[in-house]
Amino acid sequence: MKYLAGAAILATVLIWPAAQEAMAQSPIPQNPKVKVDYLEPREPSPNDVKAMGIYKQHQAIYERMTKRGVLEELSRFLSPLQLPVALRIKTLECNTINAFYDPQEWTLKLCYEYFASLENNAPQTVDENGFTREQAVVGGFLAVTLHELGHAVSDVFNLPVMGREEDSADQIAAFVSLQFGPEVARTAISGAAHSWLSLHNRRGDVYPFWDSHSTDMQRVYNFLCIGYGGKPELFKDLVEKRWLPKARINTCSHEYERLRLAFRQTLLPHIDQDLMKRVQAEKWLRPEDGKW
Amino acid sequence: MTRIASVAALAIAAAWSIVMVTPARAQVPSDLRNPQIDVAYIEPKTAALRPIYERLKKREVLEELRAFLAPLKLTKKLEIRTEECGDTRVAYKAGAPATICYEYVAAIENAAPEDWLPIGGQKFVRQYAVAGAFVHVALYEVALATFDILEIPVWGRDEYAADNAAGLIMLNFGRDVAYKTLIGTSWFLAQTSLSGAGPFGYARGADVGAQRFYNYLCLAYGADPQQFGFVKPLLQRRADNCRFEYASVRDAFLTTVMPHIDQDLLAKVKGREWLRPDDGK
Repeated sequence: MKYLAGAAILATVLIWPAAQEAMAQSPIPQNPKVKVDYLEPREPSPNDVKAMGIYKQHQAIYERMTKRGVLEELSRFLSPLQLPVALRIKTLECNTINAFYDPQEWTLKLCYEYFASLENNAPQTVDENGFTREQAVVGGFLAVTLHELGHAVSDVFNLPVMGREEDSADQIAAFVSLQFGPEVARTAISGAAHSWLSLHNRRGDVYPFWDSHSTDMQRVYNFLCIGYGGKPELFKDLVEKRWLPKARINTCSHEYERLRLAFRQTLLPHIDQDLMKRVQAEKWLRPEDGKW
Repeated sequence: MTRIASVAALAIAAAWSIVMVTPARAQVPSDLRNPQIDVAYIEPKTAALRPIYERLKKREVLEELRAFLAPLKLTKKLEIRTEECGDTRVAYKAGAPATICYEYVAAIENAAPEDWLPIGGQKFVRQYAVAGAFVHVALYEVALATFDILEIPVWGRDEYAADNAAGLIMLNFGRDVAYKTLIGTSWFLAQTSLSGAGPFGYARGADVGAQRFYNYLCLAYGADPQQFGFVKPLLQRRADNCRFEYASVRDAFLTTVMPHIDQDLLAKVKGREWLRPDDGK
């Protein structure tokens, strides 16, 4: 019995490093509770020239996303999330520039129209605020997807949202963006800021204060403040030199700490820590992302 | 002019005495005390704010608030103070007192209507605007400090959550109190909205009175569509979602704040009238 135990320990000691190495090298699996689907854009009548132009852009986006495996990648990114229900993520045509979370179907509906809008409003290279095309396209995608995921986790985990649900989804998106290294953080926060700034510039000074969303500019400031609160050095150039007044800058660290506390108490218990470390160590963005 | 000013001063004094604060020695029961809460009235330097300071102190507003907060099980000391701030508000800082600025109280009084108005089929009088907005700012500042002291997880921005927590409390003392305080608060927020501040003004955070005004209407309508049905048209597309917004806020409050409330003391607090029955007369 003693001999057997000794052999078992020896075997474990010998095998353990090899197993660890194999585990480290094995790809991060998709989250089995995250089901993804790309719905093909519908081809319009050839006589409808305007609709055909839109269709072609949507088709190109659809093909790029399927080829890149964006949603499968997203499922892998979400692998640490221990969901109690199956969450569906779909890309589809919606006939509106938007993205939604549908709580009846536990489904994220990401519209090709939204991604087309990100591309159409992105600078060719870099804009006057220093936002690059990659940040506008890839970061804009990350920001809206993480925002809708914020709604989803809020729903399925019954998060205590005592403030405003829409701001909560933005907070979750911004906070999560900061947990995967400087590249993801800078891309996603800048992408969010660019998206809302761009929308503000198109809509003008129209403020539907009755709405449950913050205004476009508030969302720019909120994303940048959380970014600066979590990683001051990474966002110093945007925040201190350009976007936020001192009175708000002074609160950003506190705002971030309050978010960290809320995340630790309400979302962390639903996250697999070992998988999380692997996801955090992975490089998620590729050099060619957004360069089209 | 002097006569008008005197009449206004008298009306304000009457409003305070009737609506907001009852004489503490006679009214605050000895079993409603919160040993973790200290209160302080800091003397203002500006002469124009002195009458407010004296009124608040004489009426023992903060002692009354401390009694109201008796059920709150704080793990650290909290000081609630009234003070001249140089602005209508000072941002809450971790570990610092919860501060109600004399300038804010002055703004409440300035924004209150001189005469009554018909709102929601009832007479909305100056006293409600003054009392409602004061109750709001007091509960709002205490809520922010409570989130910090008790490390309460908050999603959806602390400022909005503090507004909602204050609103929920207002809704829990009967329909009469709910009307006076919620519509009183909404009146003040509407009158002092920063909608003309421009986009850079919004960088300050959740300081947009107009948004807070609509949030309050939505909370009230979501909680009691019958009583507050008259605000529905103002909420436009948002109206249908208000009952879900209210439910989300209520559930979050029950989950995160309620465990820190002493239920026996809460029953005592709820059993007492905090606004006097002669309100509005």
